[in-house]
Amino acid sequence: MILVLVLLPAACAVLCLALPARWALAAHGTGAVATLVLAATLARQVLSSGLATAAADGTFRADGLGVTFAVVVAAAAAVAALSGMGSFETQGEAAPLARRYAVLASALLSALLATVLADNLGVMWISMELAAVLGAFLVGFRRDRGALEAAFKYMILGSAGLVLGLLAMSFVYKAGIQALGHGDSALSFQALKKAGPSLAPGTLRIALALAAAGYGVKIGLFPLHTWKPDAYAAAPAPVAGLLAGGAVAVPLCALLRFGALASAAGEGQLTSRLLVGAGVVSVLAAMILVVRETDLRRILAFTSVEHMGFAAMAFGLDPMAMRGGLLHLLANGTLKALAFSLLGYVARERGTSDTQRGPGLFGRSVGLSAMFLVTMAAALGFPPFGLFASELTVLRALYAGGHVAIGLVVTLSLAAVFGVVATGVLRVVFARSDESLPGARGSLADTAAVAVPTLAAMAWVGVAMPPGLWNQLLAVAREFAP
Amino acid sequence: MDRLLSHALILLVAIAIYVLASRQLVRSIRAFAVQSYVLAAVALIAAPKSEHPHHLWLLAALTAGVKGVAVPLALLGAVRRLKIRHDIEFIVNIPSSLVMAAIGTLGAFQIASRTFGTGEEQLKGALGAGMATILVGLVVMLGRRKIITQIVGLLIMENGVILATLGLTLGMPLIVEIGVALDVLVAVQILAIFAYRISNELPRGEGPPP
Repeated sequence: MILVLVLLPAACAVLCLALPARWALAAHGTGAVATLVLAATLARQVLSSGLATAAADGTFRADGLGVTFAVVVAAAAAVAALSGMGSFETQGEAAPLARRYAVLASALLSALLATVLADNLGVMWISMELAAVLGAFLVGFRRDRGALEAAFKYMILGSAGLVLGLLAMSFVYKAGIQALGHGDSALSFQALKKAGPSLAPGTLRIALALAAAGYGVKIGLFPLHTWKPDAYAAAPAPVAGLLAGGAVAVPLCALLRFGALASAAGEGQLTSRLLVGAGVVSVLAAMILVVRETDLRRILAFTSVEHMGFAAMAFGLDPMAMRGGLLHLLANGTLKALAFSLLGYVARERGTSDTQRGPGLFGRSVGLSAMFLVTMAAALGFPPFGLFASELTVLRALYAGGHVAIGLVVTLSLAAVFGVVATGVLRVVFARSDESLPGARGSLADTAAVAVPTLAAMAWVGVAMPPGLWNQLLAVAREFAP
Repeated sequence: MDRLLSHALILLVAIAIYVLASRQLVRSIRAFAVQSYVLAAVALIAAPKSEHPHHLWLLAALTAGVKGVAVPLALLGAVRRLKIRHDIEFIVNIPSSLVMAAIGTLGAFQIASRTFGTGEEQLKGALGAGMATILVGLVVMLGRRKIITQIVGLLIMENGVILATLGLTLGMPLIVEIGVALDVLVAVQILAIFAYRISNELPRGEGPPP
């Protein structure tokens, strides 16, 4: 089951190679949805039984954390793939580009799933490295100067992060050798966690600090976020959705695994402080940095810094907050994927994604305006959608845990970012401008067919989350919280 | 053997610092090639002490072949064919870089000695030397403007991380696969340099030759 889940998108990528562009896009979309269904089935199986399943001699192992992140990644990928289908020309000269996107995005999904489901830390690292390479190709997809620069920045900063992550892994292996002896088991997350109390805490402290610095780059926590706005602005819309919704959550999963190992060795307090510190600083910095941006894509990139910081902070608190953090990642991933894809259509309709220029969207397409407004409201944490529920859960845990100062800072930052983004969105939709553009209207029905079910699902998560699932998430949080 | 090893370790850090202080692009690429050879030699010295010596032989061959020959040749080719100017442009100037490198090196050895105490370390001094090399590489990467110098910085970081891993654990499972993965990463970046040329547009700070 795990191997099928990891290999399905890879097989889909190979299939896309052989298909004509239009069919390749469809195959990518179908593959992503099938992957989501598989991931959800696996998650249900693992979460309801509370037992992890292993595959390939224990190289892969679906534990509570892994399956939750697998669902996050697959959901973002499915939404991005389906809603982004209309972003590519499938006729004429641009057709090979569409096929290339389908191949790369499918392969990226496979690498991301392998990363979150790997039990062997070495396999986890290699998968993440593979994802970084594929991600760089996708960011530089348009091959103009801006895209290549953004891709290079993404690549070089990400590589530096990966090198530090590799060093962190060496330190963990060192601690593992002392407790478990040489061999694969000293790199197995499961075995290491079980041997937790006998791991040398000093070694794991260094490993955790290195992992936080290294994977912090890939998550895009302040001040290591600088690649994010460039990459998301340069990448094609569905790619930005996949990266912002799914790919950034994956290194967070890796960091949580290092945190869980450090906590098992008795360094829970350090883990907690590190995650909360990095998270709060990111939320605060995102608020300050987002103000001067005028391009809606870059604004969304900074809200990604904010939301990943928020999730990291939640993971550093108690299990109740961590449960909210897991839900936050799911809601944020899905809604970001949808928001970026829709933004692609909005930019095409208006000729720009800049909030200060261009005609109002409302005058050009009422249907798209409505969809865009609702999606952005959901992505900003408006009730009744999932993000509202998750933010409320985390904030409640924050205040209940006596972290009133942090709670106030975070609440204020969320409100301020909300204000900035909402202003930008409203301007984009209702701007008055004399500029007239040639009509380039795409089919609205296709987009609505994805956006409406996605939003409905998120509203369901926000309002009517089944208590059983909610408790299962708490069990995962109890297992992995510092 | 131990004396040879400690000389090699000193040489590795010294080469990293030489690259840091260098004003010439071509020289820093050549220095990196030499560093890769020295690293390969360290892996060979470490091999008999390891549980799986053939992994380290493979790693040594890979380091010497890819990072000692192929990557430097590709970088030199890029410098020549893209007519990149030979002098290095700095974001952080040389004296400040050296101070940062000195503090980093001291810190690295401090952490290494504190982590392991005395006599416990598998390959004496390699952890400290590796972490120092990583930090110097990081300064090179972040403190230089041209993408090709940034790649050299990253390559030095990679050499450092392999050295530190050798020092910590005498090589771990999958070390060869990890080495290959790192090489793929670099290969893509070198491809990116050529892609700049294909689109006939150069990044900021990398204007046409005078």
